[in-house]
Amino acid sequence: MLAHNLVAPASSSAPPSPFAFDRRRRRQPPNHPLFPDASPSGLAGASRRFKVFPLKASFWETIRSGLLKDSATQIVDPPTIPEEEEEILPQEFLLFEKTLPDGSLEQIIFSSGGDVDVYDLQALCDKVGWPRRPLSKLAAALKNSYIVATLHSVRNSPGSDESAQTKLIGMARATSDHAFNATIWDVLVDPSYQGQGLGKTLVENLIRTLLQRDIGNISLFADSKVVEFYRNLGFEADPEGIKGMFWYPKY
Amino acid sequence: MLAHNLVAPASSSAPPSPFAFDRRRRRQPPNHPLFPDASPSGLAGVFAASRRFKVFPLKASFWETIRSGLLKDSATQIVDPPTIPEEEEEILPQEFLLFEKTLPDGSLEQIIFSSGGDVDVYDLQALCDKVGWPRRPLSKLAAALKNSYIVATLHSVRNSPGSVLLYLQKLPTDESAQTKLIGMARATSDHAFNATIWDVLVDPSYQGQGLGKTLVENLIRTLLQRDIGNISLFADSKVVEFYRNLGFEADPEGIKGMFWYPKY
Repeated sequence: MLAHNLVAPASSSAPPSPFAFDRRRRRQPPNHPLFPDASPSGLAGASRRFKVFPLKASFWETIRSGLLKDSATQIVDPPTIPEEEEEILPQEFLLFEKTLPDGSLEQIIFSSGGDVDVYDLQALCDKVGWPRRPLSKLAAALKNSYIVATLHSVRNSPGSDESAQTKLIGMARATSDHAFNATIWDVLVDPSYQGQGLGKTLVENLIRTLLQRDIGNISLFADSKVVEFYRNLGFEADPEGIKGMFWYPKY
Repeated sequence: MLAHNLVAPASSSAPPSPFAFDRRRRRQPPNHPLFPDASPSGLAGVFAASRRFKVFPLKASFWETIRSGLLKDSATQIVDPPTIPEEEEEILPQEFLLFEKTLPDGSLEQIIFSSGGDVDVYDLQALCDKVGWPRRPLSKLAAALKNSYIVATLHSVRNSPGSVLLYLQKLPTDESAQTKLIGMARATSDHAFNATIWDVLVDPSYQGQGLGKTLVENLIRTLLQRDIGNISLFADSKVVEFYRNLGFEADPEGIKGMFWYPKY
C-alpha cells in the first residue's frame, strides 16, 4: 500500500503561539507519563506545567541559510542559532490550550515519545478514511519507527474530580537509519481538529526532533494533493531531478 | 546529503545464470561465516572445490507473477491470485553464490550475495571512496549499517590456483582466499509496511556485468519474503532508467518524493 499523507492541508491562518519561553533549563526526562496511571489523584490539578516552544520565523531561515551556505545562490557565515533554540526539545510539551464553552480546559500536547495505543491509532486511521491494516503490523510499524510523534487532546472537566479525557488526535512517524536519512510516513490529524494548523505543527516538531538527533536528510512521499502543504513546510520535490520511485505500486 | 544511487547503470547484457535449482530444502542458518575466523583451519573449509551454494537465478516468470499478483485489483489486468512457481516458494538463504568463473591465472572467483549485513565499515568506506562518494564519518556509517533493516552485499571470493586440491590440509595463511566487498545496498524499514532503499553501489571494476541489477533484485526478494509490500527509493536522474528496468515507477499517481531543504 502506498504511503498516505495528510489529506486536508492545515490552514495557514493559525496564529503564532502567545507563550514566551520559560527560563532556559536542561531537558529533564518527563516524570509524569502522558497516560497517567488509573489513580485519579495523578490526573487532578489544574493544568500540567508544560514548557512551550513556539517556532520563530528566524529559526527556519537560520537552518536554511546554514544548509545552503555552500551553494552559489547564497553565501553566509556559519549560522548562529538563536539562543533559545539551543534548548533541547523536551519529549512532550504543550502546544496550546483553550477554555471550552462548558468551562473545561482543553490542552493540545505534542509528544515524540511514541507512546501510542495501537487501538487508538486504528480508530484515528478509520476516522480519516484510510483502509484497514492488520493491528499486529500497525504495532510492528510503530515499534520499528525511529520517531513516532503524536498530538493528544487532554480535556479537564471544570471544577470536578473526574479524570481528564485524553484523546489521540494526530500522528506522524519517521523511519531512519539513525545516522543520515529519515523518511516520514503516515501523517494524519483527526478531521474534527483539522484546519487549525495542527498538521503543520505536528510535522514541524517531528522535523525539529529529527534535526536535534542530527539526521540531516529528511524525506517523504507526498500524495499530489498535499505536495503544496509540504512545500510550505520547506520540502522540495525532485531536487536536482531526483525521483521518488516505487516497486510495482498497487493502485 | 542526498541519497546516492548507482552511478553507472549495470549493463543489461548479462547472460542469465546457467545454474539450475538444487533440490528444494528449508533454509538452514549458515553454518560457515562469510568471513572465516583467522585460523588457517577455519579457512581450509573455504577451499573445498567450491563452497556448496545453492543458486537462485531469477526466472523471468517470477517478476511477472509477482507483478500480476500485485495488479490483480487494477483495471489494467485481472488475474487469478498468482500461483507462485514451485521453486520460488523456497525461502531465500541469507547467503548464496551468484556465479563463479575461472580466471586466467587458474584461480577461481566467486561472487556471493548476502543479506546478512556482515559488513566491515572500513571495507565499506573504501568502497565508497572507489565510487567517488564524499567521505562520511565512520561512526555514522556504522550506525547506519546497524540500524538498516537489511544490508545486502556482494563479495568476491577468490581462491588461489592449486589450493582446490588441498582443502583437507592446513594451509599457510598466504594462500588464503581473498574476500573483497564489491557491492552493497541497504534498506530502512518499519518492518511492517514500507521500506526505502539507500546507498546502492558496485565497485567500478565490477560494473557493467549486471551486478548492480542482481544486487537490487535480491534485496527486493529479501524484502518481499519478509512481507514488506511497499518498496521505495530516491533515484538520481541518471539512474532513473536503471530502476525503471527493475520494476520501479516514478511518481505513481502523482506521488512526489520530497526532501526538506536539500543541500546541493
